[in-house]
Amino acid sequence: MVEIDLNKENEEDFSDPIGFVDDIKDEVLVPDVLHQKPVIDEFEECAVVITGVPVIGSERVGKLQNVLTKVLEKIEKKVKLFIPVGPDGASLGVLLSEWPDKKVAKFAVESLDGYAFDKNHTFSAKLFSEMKLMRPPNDDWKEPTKQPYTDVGDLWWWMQNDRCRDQFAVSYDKNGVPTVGVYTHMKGHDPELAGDNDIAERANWTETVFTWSPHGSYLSTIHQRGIILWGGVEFKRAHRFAHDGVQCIDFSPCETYLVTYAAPEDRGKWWEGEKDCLKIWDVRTGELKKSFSAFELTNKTQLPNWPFFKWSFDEKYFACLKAPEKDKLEKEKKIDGISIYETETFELLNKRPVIIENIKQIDWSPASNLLAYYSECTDMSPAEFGLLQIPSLQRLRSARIYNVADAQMFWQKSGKRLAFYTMRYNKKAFRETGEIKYVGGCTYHVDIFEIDKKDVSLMNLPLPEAFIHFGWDPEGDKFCVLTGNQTKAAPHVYKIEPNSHAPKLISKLDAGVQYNEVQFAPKGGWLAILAKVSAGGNVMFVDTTLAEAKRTNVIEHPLFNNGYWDPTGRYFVTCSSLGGRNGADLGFRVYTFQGRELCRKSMERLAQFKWRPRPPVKLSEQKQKEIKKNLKKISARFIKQDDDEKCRASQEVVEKRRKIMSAFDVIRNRNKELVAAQRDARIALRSGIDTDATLNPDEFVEEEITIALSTSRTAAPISEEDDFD
Amino acid sequence: MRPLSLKGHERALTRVRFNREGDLVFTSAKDKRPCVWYTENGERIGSYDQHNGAVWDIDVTWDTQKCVTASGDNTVKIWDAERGNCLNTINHQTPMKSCGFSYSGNLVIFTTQKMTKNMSSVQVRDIRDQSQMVDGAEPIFSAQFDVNAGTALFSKLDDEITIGFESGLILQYDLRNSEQSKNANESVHRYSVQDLQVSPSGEFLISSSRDKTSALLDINDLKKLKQYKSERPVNSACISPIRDHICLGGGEDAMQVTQTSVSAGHFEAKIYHMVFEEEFARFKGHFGPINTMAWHPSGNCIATGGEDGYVRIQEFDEDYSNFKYDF
Repeated sequence: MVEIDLNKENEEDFSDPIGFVDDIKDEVLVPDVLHQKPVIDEFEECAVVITGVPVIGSERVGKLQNVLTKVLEKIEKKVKLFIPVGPDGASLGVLLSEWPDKKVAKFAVESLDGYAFDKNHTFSAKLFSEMKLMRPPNDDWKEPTKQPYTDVGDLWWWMQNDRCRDQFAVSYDKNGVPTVGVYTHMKGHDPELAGDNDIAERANWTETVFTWSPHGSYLSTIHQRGIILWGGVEFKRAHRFAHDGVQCIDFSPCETYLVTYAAPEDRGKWWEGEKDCLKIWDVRTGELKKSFSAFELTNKTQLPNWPFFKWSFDEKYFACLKAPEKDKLEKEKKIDGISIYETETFELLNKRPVIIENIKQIDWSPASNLLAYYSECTDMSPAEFGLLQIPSLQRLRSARIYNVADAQMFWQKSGKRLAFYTMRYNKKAFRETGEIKYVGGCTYHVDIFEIDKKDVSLMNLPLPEAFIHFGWDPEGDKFCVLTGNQTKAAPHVYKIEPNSHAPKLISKLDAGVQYNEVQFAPKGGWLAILAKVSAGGNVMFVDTTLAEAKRTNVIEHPLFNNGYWDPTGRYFVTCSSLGGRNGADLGFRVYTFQGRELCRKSMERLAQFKWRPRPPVKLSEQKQKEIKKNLKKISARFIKQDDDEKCRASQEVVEKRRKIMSAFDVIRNRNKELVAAQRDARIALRSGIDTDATLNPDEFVEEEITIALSTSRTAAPISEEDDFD
Repeated sequence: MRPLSLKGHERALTRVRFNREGDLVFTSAKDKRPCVWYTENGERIGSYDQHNGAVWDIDVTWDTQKCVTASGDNTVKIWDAERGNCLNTINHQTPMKSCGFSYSGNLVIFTTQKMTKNMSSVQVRDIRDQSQMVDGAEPIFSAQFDVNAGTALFSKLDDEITIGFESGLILQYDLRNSEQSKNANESVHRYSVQDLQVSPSGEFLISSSRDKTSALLDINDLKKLKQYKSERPVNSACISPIRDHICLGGGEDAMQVTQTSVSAGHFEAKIYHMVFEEEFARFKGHFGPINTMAWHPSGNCIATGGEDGYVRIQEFDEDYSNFKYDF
């Protein structure tokens, strides 16, 4: 008993005294939960404030009331309205209205916002609850000062290289410091820095990664405080975009807009940081066009994919999947729509998302405002692949397929065709763990929409084996499908003929190990088939310009994890960078389009390799024809230039080597003299023998030694007599 | 010509060395028996048996009279090279990592490893003076370090020594002054210095390091003259006695060898031009990293010792002797 008492005495009392009131507010304790707290007040959601109403004298307020009542009653009879007036009885240009429930109120906002009352008056409507969230304008607001225009020089200077050489940028560790360097690719020898040492190559240029803008005008770097774009001959700072903790960036296709994203949780309190975690900027003016909340866009605290917005080819629109809604049990439903924004206003097209059930993937046509979509199949409905015309939202064509387990879409770069691959199952079963299991094998198909054809024709191509990857010839009418499995993957090249209903197989190439990607050269015709991140590291180069596709070469670059065509399709680079397999030698190798190795370079901690994209330069048809016709004549000139250069280069190398050698010889001779001066000491140390003197072969004594290399026991003759017998 | 592949060691090689004439090859390995072989046909002549631990280094005097070995059994032993009997044994508290003779063959240098309270040390003793050849005797030269001295050698006659450390530091001492180093180079290597060798004509030093490079240093002031970049850690490098070439070898860390394919392990010996720092040839053979290599005094063959337990004696082909740099 004593023991227990002792314990009690030692125990501190942590319970609150009676009548204690906690003075910590909920806002401090659970702000993230409160952030999502629904507003209880129904009334505020039923009241709509309308501005933009005519301002009139007191005598005509009654008349205005009548007219407005008529307008509003068209929406709902049970509306109550009130026109506030000033001290002199004149209206203030504001109208307050109250609706029977929040659904009607919401509808009223949608219909009244932007309603043209007369020639001079357009309404803008807002829910009272939303109105409450508005902040008064900052009293200290000042007109922004004019920013001086920074002229960084010609943004496309590298396009004027007289040998049409392309540039690329790499990020790697130079002497242990992360460095980004921009180089010019020189055919046949080592790449050269595209400028002076500290200009084109800088230590810690970016904190994470770099990117080229889509036309190659800018090199963009990511920093803790935001994004910097660099351009011109000297890579001067062209623009800055402040965005704390920015992680991802994406350009619109013509470089007009820049999208930046910072993960909310990295900016302290996510419910505060997340309101503007996604920002769209105007690249040229640096103006912030719009900021988004990731939570509103996706119903999640983090973006699920990047780039999140898909841009139309002309930047008129950008789209993303709508946020999934939640059912009554707070369980997330499948996504049922696409949000399409216009860049003219940065508002939703038609103010509302396009509803498509079970939408999974969207993809813009690279050449027109067509949006391709894929909606998953469910037990009740088939999967749907469709083409949506924007802004009319007309469904150009759609295909419905049952039992689709997996699908992918591939646009041809010319925008003429869209291919989609589907894996179709026979039967579906659920395992006990809830996993889906497909019973009875699957079939693989590639279907192709031809946009230009009447009514958008659809072609079907069943595949004999499992699908691995697909690639379009960007301009032509060929494509390549990779089928098979890990150990045996076979590329098939098909051609689409104008009057045929199915693509025609023109070549089946030799199967290879672990091929997993198809890449057509950007200008078409040539094809690389890659076995990324494999021990063999093969790349097969294929010529599809002729009637039959022909393999030109297979190269090996063990464990390479990326391959890129240069923007002109003249060179192909394989590179092994961080993030690939462990133990790979980091570096890159450059090949011609036929697979002849031109140069290989190892780089410490190589993180990125990126060719500098080229802006689109459209030559007239006639000019292109002319060039094609005179190709032989022109190429002879280029070959001569190449040879001259090679000659000059080797002379330069010899010259350089001579210089190095003569500089080295100075040190060598000095040391030689020092060694020679030790001659007496050397002889003395080796008891009078000059071991430095060349040995005279005449003094050698030849000695022959016989050594038994192996001995073995044999039966010896017993006696001589036996031998004679 | 076919290379000779000598299989006499049970474990990874730690050192191969030719004698001055080049007719004999001395090898030590992580097994207990250093060996001597004929260069000509690869026949083993015999072994030096008495050690009871990995043998980390072996050296032979200019007249091939005596050998010295440093072992993980905490001893350095001096041997009669011809008869194979042990002449002297010096005991220490910690394993011995590296050893070598001076130009005259009268002085011997060795390094001891750092372990618990024992600092790493470098000592030089005179083998003619028997009072120095007992445990605890006062050596001619002794210096202690907080980092492991991995490799040490006489860089100039019997007067100067050079030491390579695990931190990448290289120090040079005059024997008469053990207090203050004469020269130092801490910038050339970022990681452990694995090997140091003197050029056959005595003008340069070549160092090898885990930082994937090998460097040519001025023997008088340790200044970096050239640096050779390899894709893998370098364990050993040597200089041709007749041409401006160097050869280096190494490979993927022994620990990771099992995870890499032979082609990705870079177990080849690579030959570079000494002045232009360009690699122009390599030869394969080992299926583990190369731990040690030596150029034959005649200049037309190289001996390499690998983690795989093989010693390979590679003679150069005609292509090599005909190969010329334009300058």
